[in-house]
Amino acid sequence: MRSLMHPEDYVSHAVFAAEQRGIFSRLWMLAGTRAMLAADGEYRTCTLAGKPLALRNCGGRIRAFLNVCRHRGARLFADEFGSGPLVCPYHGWSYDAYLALDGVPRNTSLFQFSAAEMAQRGLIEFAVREVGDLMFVNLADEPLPIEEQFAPHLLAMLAASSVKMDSQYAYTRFDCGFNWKLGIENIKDPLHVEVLHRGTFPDYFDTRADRTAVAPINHAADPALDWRKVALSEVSDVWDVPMGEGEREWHALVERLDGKRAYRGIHLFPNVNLMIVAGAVFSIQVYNPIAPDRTEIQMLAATTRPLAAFAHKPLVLWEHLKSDMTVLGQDIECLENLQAGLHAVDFGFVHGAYEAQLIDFHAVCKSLCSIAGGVAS
Amino acid sequence: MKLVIVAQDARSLRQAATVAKAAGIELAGVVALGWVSPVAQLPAPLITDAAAQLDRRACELYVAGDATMLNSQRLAVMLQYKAAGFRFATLVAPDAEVDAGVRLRENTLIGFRARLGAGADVGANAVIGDLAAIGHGTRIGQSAWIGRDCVVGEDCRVGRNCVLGDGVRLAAGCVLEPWSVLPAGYRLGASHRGTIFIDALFRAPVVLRGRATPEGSES
Repeated sequence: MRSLMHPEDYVSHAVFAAEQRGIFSRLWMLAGTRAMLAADGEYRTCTLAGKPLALRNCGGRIRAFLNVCRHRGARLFADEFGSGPLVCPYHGWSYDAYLALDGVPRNTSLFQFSAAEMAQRGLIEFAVREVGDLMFVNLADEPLPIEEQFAPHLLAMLAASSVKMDSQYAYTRFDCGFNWKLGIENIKDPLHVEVLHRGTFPDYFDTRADRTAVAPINHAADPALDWRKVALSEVSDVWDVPMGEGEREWHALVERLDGKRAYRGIHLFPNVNLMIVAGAVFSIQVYNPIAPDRTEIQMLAATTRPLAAFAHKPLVLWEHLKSDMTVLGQDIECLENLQAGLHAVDFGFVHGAYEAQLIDFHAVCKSLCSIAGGVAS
Repeated sequence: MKLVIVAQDARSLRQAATVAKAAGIELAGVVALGWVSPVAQLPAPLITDAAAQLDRRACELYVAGDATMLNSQRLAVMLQYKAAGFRFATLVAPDAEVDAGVRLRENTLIGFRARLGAGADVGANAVIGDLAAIGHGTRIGQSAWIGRDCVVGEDCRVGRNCVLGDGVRLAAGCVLEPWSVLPAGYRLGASHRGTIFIDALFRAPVVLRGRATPEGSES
């Protein structure tokens, strides 16, 4: 099958801008977890669709806002994680738990803001939706219902499983030299595992791609003819890879979710790869687009909640993340090399039957970008 | 006092046995945990039931293990023998330089030509590798692993269960939070807030964040 995506779609600044507008500024994006914002005053900052964003626990309620002061646009929080009051480090403007401006040093003499004028200068707030312990943010003025983005059964599963995530986690970021779509296509592609990751994927996974008979494929067919039929809520998907003997001694110390003998992969459209391994450990990767050829992968690993003393959990998390990274490192190297050669590729890509979900992914990306007045090919 | 080594792998058994022999300590037996070695290759007779075979007043134990296994597991083994009434040795290579006022807790090992500055404090179950230098006033936490040829500056705090690969350098005054892992050859010039894991696999440090629940916290 011919691909909906052309090599240009992975290098073009116009396509990137259209995606930032049509996808990342419009949909619900995973921007944090409850554990990152557990206590009053705790915050997490990130860049979302090019905007500096902060999430903060404001008296128990998680609020998301533009991480800039309404005075001169200075950055409020410089660190990625931290805890503190909403006070601008530049001139000391302060904001309350509702993000309203409540303090301007020397206001009487220098600004003379009335109460009404103060009220107009609160921080720019964005919608937050908590799904279990996962925090989704939407930058749109009128956010679409999250149920349009994720099917009800998926939301229910995310809510039920994520509340079992432990409050301690290992976290890192990884700057990669490839387009974010390549990263997501890679996680939705089972065939590469037995080739690229031969020897590195833990051998207790059954990673053989489904090679059962499929309908004849017409490689001349143009899937673009009916790509608009794919609904947004259908493009996220969940798959279980059976595991053989993958039990660890520490598994007995934590609460177990369904799927004790499975590696559960979840793609949350557009850019999240959430894995639950053996019903005992969460691994979350967010592919955050920075530029057409740059993606920041935010990586988090956490076990399920401990049931008993689990003093060596830090080392378990570290070993898990290293294991993930050994596999992901091969993907990154391959995809960075792929990206580096894309400028010279002037032919269309070809998909096999196992990649139907990639075409759905492409179709929804294209659809959202064209709705947003972006680049349609 | 005779020594019995409780070992979980051949490499750390060899390390402990070599230091003990050089220090003139008589090795009376070996307890092998979770691995099998030809008896002929053991430096002392194999002891299968320490509780029944050993006289607690006549011997001391040393529980050995390498950095690839959890030092906390080594600690658990040590505590199990401690509860059974055993005492533990501190193994110090004869050519190690241990200044006045250095405090060494039980079940520690100080490797060949290692140097410990005045006032250094080494927690129980820690291992200081050969040629490593620990600065004046520095505290090495319980169950920490300091690799061969490391240099830990003066007045540093290395948290419990930290693992420093061979040749790591820590500038004076650095604080390393518990469970941090630094790879061989890494140089840390300043303290890092929170536990960090560094590895060439990653392009940025891995940080440990959030709160350990009561169940998950250390006792």
